[in-house]
Amino acid sequence: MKQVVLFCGLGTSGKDFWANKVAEIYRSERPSQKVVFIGISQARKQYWGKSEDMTDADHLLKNEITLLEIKKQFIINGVDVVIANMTMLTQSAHQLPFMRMISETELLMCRKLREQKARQSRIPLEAIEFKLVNINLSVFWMTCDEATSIKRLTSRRKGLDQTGGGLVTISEFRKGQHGFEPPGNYYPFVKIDTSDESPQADFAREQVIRSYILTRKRRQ
Amino acid sequence: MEGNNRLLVVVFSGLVFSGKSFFRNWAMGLSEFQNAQTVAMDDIRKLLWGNKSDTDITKTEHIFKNEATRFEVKRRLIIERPPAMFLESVMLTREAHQKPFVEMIDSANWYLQTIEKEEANRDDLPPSKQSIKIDFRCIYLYCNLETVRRRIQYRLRELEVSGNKSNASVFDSEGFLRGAKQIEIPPVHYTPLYINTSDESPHALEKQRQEILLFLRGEMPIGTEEHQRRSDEAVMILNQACKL
Repeated sequence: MKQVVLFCGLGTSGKDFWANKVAEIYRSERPSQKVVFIGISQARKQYWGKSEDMTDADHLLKNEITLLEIKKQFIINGVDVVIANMTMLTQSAHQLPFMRMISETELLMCRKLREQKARQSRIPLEAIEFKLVNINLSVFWMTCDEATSIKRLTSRRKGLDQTGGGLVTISEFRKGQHGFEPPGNYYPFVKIDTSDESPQADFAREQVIRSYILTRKRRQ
Repeated sequence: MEGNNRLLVVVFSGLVFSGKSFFRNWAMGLSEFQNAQTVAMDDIRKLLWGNKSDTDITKTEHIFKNEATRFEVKRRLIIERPPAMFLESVMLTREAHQKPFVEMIDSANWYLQTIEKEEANRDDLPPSKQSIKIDFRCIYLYCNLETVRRRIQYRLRELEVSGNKSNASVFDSEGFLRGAKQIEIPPVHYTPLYINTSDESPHALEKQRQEILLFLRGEMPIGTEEHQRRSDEAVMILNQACKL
């Protein structure tokens, strides 16, 4: 079964930290599965450098680059699980294109599977049943209160935070806060508040995330 | 051509053996296009699959390769903004190849113009008087069947001597005929410049190059009647090939 685990939400909410944590869980508990981690900051670092120099349209392009990368991982590299870290700022320009990409990828995977079967068994393509390949989607909307965001931004500026998040200025954070549209219309999600940074709170969050991703039923 | 707001994107289209590589290489060697870039399908294939041969790739993977190639063109246009990009592509079907390419150009235009406005806003600059714009031009190269046969012989001799180093498909007349049956000419989403490359004499070559150069500079070097004649001729050759 194919799976996408998506961590969305504003910068400083803990997406990168938890996406990496989930990648570790998969590697240790499901070693036979091919798992990749795709962070939105990978495209930013590769093509733009600093986040504060980017325009809104640059951010949108960065999103498109990341969507194509996820698609590539499934169609070309044949991975089982993609763990993605993407803000998913707006419904129409981010969340909807994400779901379109998932549907297109499912369709392309079905076609590829059929073509491969036809080639291997040397029978006509038409004789092979068209079986839908589902991508199971687990979405976590990560949030935290403003005081925690500001504390984390300060740590990033001082270089104390090594999680790899791109956001470093308050103005950028405010801009994101202003434009953010919570998920809701296109996919189910679990909301995770990361404000409490105590080990007990982290443990509780891990249990919630773990049970959601490892016991998810097939997406209808 | 640098310093102005025109980004030139040229696709040398047509079937195998029509002369796409020959004319693209020539155009890229001209001094006025010295900073032109290219995105080769073959490079995208290597990036995606390494040394896997084209023949081992499924049709669906080819579709994805086309999408990835278009996206690479778009990304470079928006982020790197080269003054010109010269590409080679068959541009086989209207719906799956020609239309998506035009849509990609429209999308890249939207990005470029939006980024330009946002940057001006951010830096408190007045809006640009002449917005950046992509000038998309397609050249459809074609030749008669006798020329195709001749060029197949050249290619086979070449392969005997040097081997197939690129792992790209080794096309033969079957490959050409398959393409001839599938290609949809004339395109409906843009108006190409039709160039018949059958005559390889120095005089004909010079004329072909002059027309292409004028077209790249923004002009349509032939009139409506001649344009229609060439379009009909290109379709007629394809029809002849389909009957073989």
